[in-house]
Amino acid sequence: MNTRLISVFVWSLGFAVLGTPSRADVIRVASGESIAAAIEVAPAGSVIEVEPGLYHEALIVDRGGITLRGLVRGSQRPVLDGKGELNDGVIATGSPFAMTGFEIRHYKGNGVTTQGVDGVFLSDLVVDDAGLYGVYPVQSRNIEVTHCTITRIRDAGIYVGESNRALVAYNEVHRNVAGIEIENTNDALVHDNLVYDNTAGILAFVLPGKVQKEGLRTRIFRNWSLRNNRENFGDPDSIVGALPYGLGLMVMGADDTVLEDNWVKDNVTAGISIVRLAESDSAKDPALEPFSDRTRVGFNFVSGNGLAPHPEVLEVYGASGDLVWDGTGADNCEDLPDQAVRGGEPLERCGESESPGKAVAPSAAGENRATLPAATTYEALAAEGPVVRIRGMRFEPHVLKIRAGETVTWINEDAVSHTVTSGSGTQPTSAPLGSEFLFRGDTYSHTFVQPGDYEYLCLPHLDQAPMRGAQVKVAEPITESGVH
Amino acid sequence: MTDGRRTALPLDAHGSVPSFPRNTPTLYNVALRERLFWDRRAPSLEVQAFGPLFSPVEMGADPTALLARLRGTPEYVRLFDEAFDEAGEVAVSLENLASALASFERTLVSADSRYDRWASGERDALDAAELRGLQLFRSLNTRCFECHRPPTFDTPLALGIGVVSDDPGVAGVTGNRARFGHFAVPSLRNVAQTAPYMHDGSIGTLEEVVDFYRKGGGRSLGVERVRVNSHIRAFDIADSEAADLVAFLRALTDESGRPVAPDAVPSGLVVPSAMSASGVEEVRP
Repeated sequence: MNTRLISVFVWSLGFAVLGTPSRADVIRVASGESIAAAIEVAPAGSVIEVEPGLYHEALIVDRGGITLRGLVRGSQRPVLDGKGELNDGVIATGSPFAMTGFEIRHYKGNGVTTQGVDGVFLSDLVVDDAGLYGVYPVQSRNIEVTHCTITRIRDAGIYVGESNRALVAYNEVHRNVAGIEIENTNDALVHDNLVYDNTAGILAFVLPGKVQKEGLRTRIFRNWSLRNNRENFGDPDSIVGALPYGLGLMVMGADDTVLEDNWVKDNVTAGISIVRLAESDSAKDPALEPFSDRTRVGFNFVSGNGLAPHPEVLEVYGASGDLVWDGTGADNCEDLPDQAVRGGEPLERCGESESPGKAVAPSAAGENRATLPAATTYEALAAEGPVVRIRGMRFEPHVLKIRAGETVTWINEDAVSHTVTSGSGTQPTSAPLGSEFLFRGDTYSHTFVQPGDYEYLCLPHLDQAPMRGAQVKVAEPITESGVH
Repeated sequence: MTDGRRTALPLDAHGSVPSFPRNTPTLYNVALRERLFWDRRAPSLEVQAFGPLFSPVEMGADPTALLARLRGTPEYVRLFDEAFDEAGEVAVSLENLASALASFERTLVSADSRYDRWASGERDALDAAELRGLQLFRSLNTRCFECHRPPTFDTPLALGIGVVSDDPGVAGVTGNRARFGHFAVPSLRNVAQTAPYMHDGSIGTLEEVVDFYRKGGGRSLGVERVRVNSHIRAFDIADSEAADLVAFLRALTDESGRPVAPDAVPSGLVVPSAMSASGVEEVRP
């Protein structure tokens, strides 16, 4: 292929992705005019420049490549004011989306949300009293939130939810319930933010009931998280409403989080806390791994934290301080200065050999068929535990006897597909056995926790007697005093 | 592609009903769903097919008798032979039956609603009230979009909203008490055609559904057995805004992919007239 053709192809690809002509259309909105009306007619790739003034509007941006540029003249800038009547300042779904230079205030829902956007650039926004979130990128990717000032938000000033690759930097966030929250999000960088006078400062965590089940590799560094001691004014029934006051930095169920070079001072409950997601929340979502693993608390400037802990926290940990760990999760470590005050369980020192960039273990949650060895054989499986072979259109053995706690693996050796499905006679039931269609060589495993008789069948071959009425008989586990 | 009934019709011959009768979900866009049934117990449409077919409280078929009957109908043997690798009667197997049903269901696609046309650039496809409704749908005040995510308007999860019932939902499948009363998030495509609503068909109209959420769902009803999702909480919108939301939901209708019902089928069974009638609009339970 000749190079000219390639360059034409690359050009047209760029054109298609950005959906924008080489020079952006610029649309000017003057005070007294409608920004929404400008958005309505703006082609993809437009820059909408807005003069200082008061705009009582709720904006929706569904077209890609739109930039909302507030023109800042001295202390004057355009103000989006919901007057406590409108729901959201801006909802954007078009990719990419950029917004700079606005003040946003008095909305019921939130300031700016991006939903499913790839490429979010929010900068120099002043958000005050705008509902649940100041800025809320959710299910988005490639996000930058920088140089924003966010105050008096009932949930989180900056909330990055279920997203990937986010930069949150150089923001000033105060007088909110939570300052900055990174939730079920991977690869967020949170640095050089000034976060103070919130109920809690910066949090990296996971919540149940989300499609993205992990929060990995958040790096929180060079932030100031100071005197976040504000009485919680969130909805008492919400998760954020249950946050105790006085938290500087918190990791809750996120993995591979790095915290270093932060100034964490005068947070009355705890400076840095490493905890699990509460059982009452994690039980709702078994696929979610609720523990904070491989957190690396590097060197941070910590002082004066934990001096008047929230009573509930004090009750759980007995003592608090600059660092509190609840004792759960694997491979967490710290390298705080010696004089840092430690509460809760003692964390190991990170030491020189540990590296925050080390390989990340895959999530343990859920069955993963892809990890099964390619050439699974009965012999290999039998070495691991009890096996039922499905071959010659029958389950072998038809009745298997095991002890509670054992894991049974079925392997299909037939050319036709089978299932392993709980059921009585010819009637399939739902639990606990429910494989997908197993093709030749596929396996299915189940761990039997409770003693009892478990009858099962093969859905596609219910008409054949050897393929139904099969059983796993599970006896009580052998106790320590038991005889083999 | 739903029955318009509050809960599935029980099998007359047995006269017995399930302990927890459920509303029959729509078949539209089932190809996009990771798991099937309100409690998400079936990992595929093929597996799902055997549930109602052999359930003694639903269709109550006997697998051996069913296969004998299909094999006894020359036209079915011919069609199975033509569609599958196996030859003749051997092609008429339960596995192939499931495959045939699932393959048909996967053709039932709804993706050309007025919302879709609006999203692809047809500016006038939604009117002002519907656009206001879309805005509310994606608002952090209502938070509808968090679980009913465009473009499928669902999420592959089972969650608790707190409809009052004794049905254990996911807990009945997994034994996990924390998931009592948790059910699959249904897609809202064609939602105007799939009344009544919720897992038990207990809410008759879209207006009432919006009202249920507006008041905070199970949280406001004092439901204690169900751990209600944290996004479900009362929200403050005007009555006119509630009407806008409903207007938007009605713009998610596209039944252009509705299959034409045949006049006759090889079994000689009567084709129910309901199949050829147009969609059922919000039958009250």
